[in-house]
Amino acid sequence: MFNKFKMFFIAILFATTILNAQNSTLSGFITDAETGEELISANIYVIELETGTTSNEYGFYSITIPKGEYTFRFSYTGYKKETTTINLKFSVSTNIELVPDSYEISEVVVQGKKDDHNVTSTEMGTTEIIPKEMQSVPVILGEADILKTMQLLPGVSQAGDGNSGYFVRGGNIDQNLILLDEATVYNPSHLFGFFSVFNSDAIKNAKMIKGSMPAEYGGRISSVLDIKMKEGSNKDFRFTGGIGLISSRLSIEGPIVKDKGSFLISGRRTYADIFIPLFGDEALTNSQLYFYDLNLKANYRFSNSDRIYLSGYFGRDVLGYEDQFGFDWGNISGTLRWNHLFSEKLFSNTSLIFSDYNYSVSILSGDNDFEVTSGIRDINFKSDFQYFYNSKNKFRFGFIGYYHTFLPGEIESAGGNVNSYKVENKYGLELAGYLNHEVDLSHRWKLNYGLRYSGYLNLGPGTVYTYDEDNIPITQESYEGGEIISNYGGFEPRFSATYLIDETTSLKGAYSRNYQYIHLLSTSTTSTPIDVWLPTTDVVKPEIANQVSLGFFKNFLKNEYESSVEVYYKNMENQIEYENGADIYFNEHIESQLVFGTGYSYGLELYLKKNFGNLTGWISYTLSKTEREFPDINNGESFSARQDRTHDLSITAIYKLGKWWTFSTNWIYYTGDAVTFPSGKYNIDGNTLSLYTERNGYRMPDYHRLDLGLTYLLSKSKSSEMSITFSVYNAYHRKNAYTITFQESETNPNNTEAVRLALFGVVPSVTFNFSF
Amino acid sequence: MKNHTYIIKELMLSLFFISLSLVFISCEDVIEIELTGVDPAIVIEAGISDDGSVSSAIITKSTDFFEPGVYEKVSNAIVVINDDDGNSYQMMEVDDGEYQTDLITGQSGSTYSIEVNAEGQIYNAESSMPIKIVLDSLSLELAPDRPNQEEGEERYFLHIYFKDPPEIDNYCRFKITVEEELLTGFIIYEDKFTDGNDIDVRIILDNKELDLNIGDLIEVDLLSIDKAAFDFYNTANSVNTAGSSGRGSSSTSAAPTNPVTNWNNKALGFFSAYTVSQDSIIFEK
Repeated sequence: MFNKFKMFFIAILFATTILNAQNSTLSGFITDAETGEELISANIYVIELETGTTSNEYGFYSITIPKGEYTFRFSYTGYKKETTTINLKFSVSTNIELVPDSYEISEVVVQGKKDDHNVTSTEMGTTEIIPKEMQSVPVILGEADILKTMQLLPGVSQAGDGNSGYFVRGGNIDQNLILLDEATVYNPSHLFGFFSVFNSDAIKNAKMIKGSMPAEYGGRISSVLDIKMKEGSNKDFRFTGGIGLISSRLSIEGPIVKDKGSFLISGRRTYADIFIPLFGDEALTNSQLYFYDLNLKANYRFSNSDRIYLSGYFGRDVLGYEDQFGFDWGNISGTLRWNHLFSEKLFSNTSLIFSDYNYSVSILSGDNDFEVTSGIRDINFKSDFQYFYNSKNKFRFGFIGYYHTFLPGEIESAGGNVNSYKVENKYGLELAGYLNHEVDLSHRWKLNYGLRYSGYLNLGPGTVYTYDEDNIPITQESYEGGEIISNYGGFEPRFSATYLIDETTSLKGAYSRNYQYIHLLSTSTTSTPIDVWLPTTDVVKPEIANQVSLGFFKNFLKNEYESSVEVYYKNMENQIEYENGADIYFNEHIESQLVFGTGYSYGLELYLKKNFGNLTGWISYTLSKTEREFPDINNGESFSARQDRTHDLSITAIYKLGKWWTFSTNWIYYTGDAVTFPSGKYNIDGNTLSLYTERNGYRMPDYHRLDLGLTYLLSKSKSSEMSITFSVYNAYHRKNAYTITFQESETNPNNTEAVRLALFGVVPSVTFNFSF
Repeated sequence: MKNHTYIIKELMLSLFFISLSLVFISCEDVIEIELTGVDPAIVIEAGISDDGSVSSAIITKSTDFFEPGVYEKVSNAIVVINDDDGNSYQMMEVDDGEYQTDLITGQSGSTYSIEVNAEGQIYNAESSMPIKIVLDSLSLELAPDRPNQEEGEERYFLHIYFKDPPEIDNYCRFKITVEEELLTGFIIYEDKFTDGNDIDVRIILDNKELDLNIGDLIEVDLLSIDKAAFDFYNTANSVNTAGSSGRGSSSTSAAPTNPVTNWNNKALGFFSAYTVSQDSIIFEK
């Protein structure tokens, strides 16, 4: 089926090449003049024709226009514009180098992609962030953090203190696809959500798409966060880093062969355990508490049409208490990519990717000596083609396949009461093919539509059970390696349209349908590293979502202000919950413990952003509702999803005071999670038990917190920069509840009370940053 | 839940909270929360054992959560227990809400059913008495010190030794009484990972909570229970506000529901047929 699509398109290519004799193509790569780093989504504009294009994620651009002489303007936020006149008699290949803006920071002229992109692009519900914008957002412990910044946007909500992951438009945590240089990241944070795994010094570009994703993305039904790392300077050696109170980071980049190849090594480690001896307790002294990230990249350009990239990521969190308990988890990924230019109009990227997430708990206490592990592993092959037909039409097509191995749980025991035990591995093949067309129908109308077909094959070796009403297995069937146990598939149409009302105002609408074949089962309502990834099987069907959205976008005062209003509605099928009293851990028959239902979410997102001036920043507000309906829960009546956040407000402000000082702040407020609290209690054999009535009928207390940051620039020159950042997380020490537990009062056992555990009080920090 | 996945769960979650509070300035305090009330629901706790003691039923009502722990007792109910030979025995009300009969002694392998007629509603349940498991012996051991442990706050391991019958699914509950006071929390066991092994269940006795003195009598009842009772105790632990087995009922529970019950008509509680094996040990330092 995929072959048919490809053949069809190559045929069209031939036909159109012949018909395009009147046109010529200008193409090439746009890079940073000082480092050779490719610029993503840079602007290429033909002044006489009032048309243009943007560079793709590898810095490649291609624009096909009628033959003639034109003035081309190349621009990108943070760089000086380049304007050249080119006589386009034949197709020309020109690589452009843009010079970064002068280092005088009082200049705040921002031109380029960001001008009116939010109004004119067909990307709905999408935000693209380049690190220059991210540096000033105050986050914990002085480090800019891409995940925390994304959570300040409308429609994207943090999962709460101590939780890794986030919710997008009411979707679950596992419904967000997170890609780091095309490799899937299964757990994007360290230390229970306190830090993300992304070292911001090494990020080139980050794009968040809230659901109406174009056809080249799929596999998760709520959102895509596509992060591209820097490649490393191919002109000179650079060092960037920071030394902070609790963590430090260092990046080293440089050329392998000048102007042709470069490498980047980027690492980060915390050392919270260094401070433990200060508590003065001997037992704690032998404890460990740290995490690290290491990114390794190298690339080489063989010719103007071929480039190879190799990258690897290693990250781990390690907790340990003496010899007795050890708990660690982390991601590993490796990617090999090949960019190939078939012609000045046809760009391709082919990748081979390996990705692994696992956790392990080891217990050595008394007679017991055992280790528990679980995880998921992927091998992934994809090929993507971009055909820049002309300045008004761009096509994209390709295919992607994942071979998943699920390791739901294994206990290896060396002694004691516990026997070794293993829940069978599961295997699956996830495939998709897609075709997309982006077209400017006229000056006012733009469309971006496409079709994706995805499928999932549940493969052996394995054993499949069927269950009776009491969840007792009644039949059992074994499959060999490679045998297909079950299969699913479906079409995922994607559509979005932009209508330009005038140069600074537009109306956009979008529809998308998405399938998801892997699911995260959580052992509690807070996400933990011990949550288990499970595949689609006979019992667990693919999750499917349909989303429609409509938005109004307007810029004011020559793009100084950006604003938007978006509304969306999303429905989700085959959502998963546990049945009452489910047996969750190391259960060979975990599927029998699951119940299925539907979910829906709708909301209104308001956004106002100020781009220039000494004061910049934005305000996001989301009003929404997310509900679930399951025949087996709450007597079949619909109930609020845990992540139903009626109000979600973020205010971010950055103020530049003169040349040396930058002050930044953000304030977040959201309605507390929907939870189940007891309404009554009763006594059994001397024990007081809570009595529940409806599911998620109560709310946790509202969450709000203020973060502050102050950066002082110690020195800045053309080749180096040093600064020091002071920051305070949760400045007014709000005790946001992580859990609320209902228990017997310690003072009077006859009474019961509610006890709140708040995780993060006020956390101050200092970081010294450098780059040279 | 299996004994050892239970330990794993406990340890993993404890590690979590230890590590979280280690690093961050986290804190715990009592807060005011408003909870809506609920109409009092009927609670029936009934059982039959094999040791010749009385078969009993206790019938009470629930109350609103922040009210004092005073539970209305239900009198004048008709409680009848039947064995699988068709014999019926009625329990007499010996105290408010408490019903008993000593005319029937349970036997492993038999199935018993019970019918309760209270306040115009009829409730039925059934339970099979499982194979007897014999408690071999007990021992006490001093546990390693915790961080910041002070004098008088030591912990001890109470070891309970028994042999798990192989080739059958076995479920147990341990009732531990220290100087006639029953420890709270439902301490349960399942042989999912330990079938047929010589078992050593280790219970932590915390002097911080118990105030143990030399010469104190510690009694242990090993109850062999059926799966339905095990499921009840297991799910009840996640809503238990007291005891070390439940960390109170937490807002983070993934499937927050009332315990599974074998009563048919929306009664809380359960009916269980079980065997009992007892032993005791004197606490010495």
